[in-house]
Amino acid sequence: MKNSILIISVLSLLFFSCSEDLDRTIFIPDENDSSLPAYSEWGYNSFGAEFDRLYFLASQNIVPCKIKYENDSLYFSLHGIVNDYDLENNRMILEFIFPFEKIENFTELIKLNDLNINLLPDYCKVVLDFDNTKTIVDVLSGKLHFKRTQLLFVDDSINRVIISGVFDIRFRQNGYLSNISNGRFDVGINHRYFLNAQIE
Amino acid sequence: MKRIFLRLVCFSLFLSVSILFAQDEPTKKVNNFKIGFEFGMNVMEGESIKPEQIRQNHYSTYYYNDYYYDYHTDYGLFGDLATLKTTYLGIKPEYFVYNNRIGIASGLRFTYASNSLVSDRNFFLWKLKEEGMNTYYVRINNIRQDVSLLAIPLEIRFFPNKRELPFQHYFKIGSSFNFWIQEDSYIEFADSKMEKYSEVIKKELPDRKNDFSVFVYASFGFKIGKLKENYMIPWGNIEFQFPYMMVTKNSFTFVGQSYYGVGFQVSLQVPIGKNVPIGSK
Repeated sequence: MKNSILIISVLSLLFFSCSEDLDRTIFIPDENDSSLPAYSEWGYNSFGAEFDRLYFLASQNIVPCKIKYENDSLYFSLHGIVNDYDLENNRMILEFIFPFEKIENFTELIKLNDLNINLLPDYCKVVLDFDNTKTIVDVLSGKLHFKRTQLLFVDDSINRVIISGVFDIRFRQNGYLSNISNGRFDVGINHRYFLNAQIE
Repeated sequence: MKRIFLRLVCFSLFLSVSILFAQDEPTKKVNNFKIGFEFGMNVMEGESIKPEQIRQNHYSTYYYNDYYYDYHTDYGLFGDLATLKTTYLGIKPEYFVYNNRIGIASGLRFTYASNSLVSDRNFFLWKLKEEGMNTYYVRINNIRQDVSLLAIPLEIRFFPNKRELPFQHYFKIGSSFNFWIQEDSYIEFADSKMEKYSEVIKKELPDRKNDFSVFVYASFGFKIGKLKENYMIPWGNIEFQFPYMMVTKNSFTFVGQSYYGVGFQVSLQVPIGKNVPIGSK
């Protein structure tokens, strides 16, 4: 019994120490715009986009991406900050909601590989949660491209799915035109950041 | 490269042979040669050469005004600096001129150099392979490469004091011309079961572009011991070397250009034949 507890403790420690490293946000600056992270496919848990004249970026203090499957749709949300120092609360969530085939656990997220989504049709939604206000924005044009997904094995064990892609949205919020452009993400999703609301 | 090596070896042999002939020279009044045995250690910091298979794992954050405004400012690099450690043993004859206040030395050194890749965390991740939509990483604590070198040192030292003292300081400039003999790599995995991938990773390590390297250094040291004419009393030397630099690039797998380094050297010098104190003509 004691041995079992010891083995489980050691294995848990190994798993969490490994996960901790892969959970961190790594910022590799873009060569053309050093305020944005470069597009990557390493699972750096980073994202960035131009938000009008500001930047929407991943933060070390916030889990950058969470995915939920509910009502036959996938909710892909990016959680970060906007670099406006005048704001009291600069946290922002950008969520893409689109219909997708059933996903029961995080490993099935590799089905997103090379998926191009036009955000204009009514069955797609973009939700902006900014400055304590949650709004479904009126998309004028937009695309979300999951360029590549990878099932990541670390030391021969399944660890997470790496999802990398780009996005651009032109939208109207409270009557005013806004742009989130030149967006890119490279995130790792495991069971901690994936929820199937129809099962759990 | 081989021609340079041969010339340097010949020069070194010439110095050594000269010592023997000098011993047998009955007409020479004084003998300015000393034969020395040296040991030294050095540490150099240099540009890190990071294989492209390594996942970046370094970050830093600074805070603007308060904790709300955090931005990652560092470039996420896997350590900017690499360390090269060298240890050597050698034999080094020295010839004295200018009233025995300037010594010129050369000889042969066997140098053991070690350079490694070490994460700023417990381990780093190495991309082993990609198969379809699967990507495989392994956790590595460190990769060390040990290199054996045959080196030819060339040193000039100067004793500022005109008379010999039992404890006497000196200044030195030196260089070491190093030729690669052999190397071996060692990989320490976070999970020992992954050692099966050791040979695959070794094959993927970046190629060293240069079999030849040159170290240059400046030293400040002390000679310990006072010579008496006609007595075979050895000298001891202890010196601190700074800066210690590698002037060639890409001579080691994980270290590109060196920036700076420090070291020390201890040596024992035995006079050959008649002793001539410093300051004697």
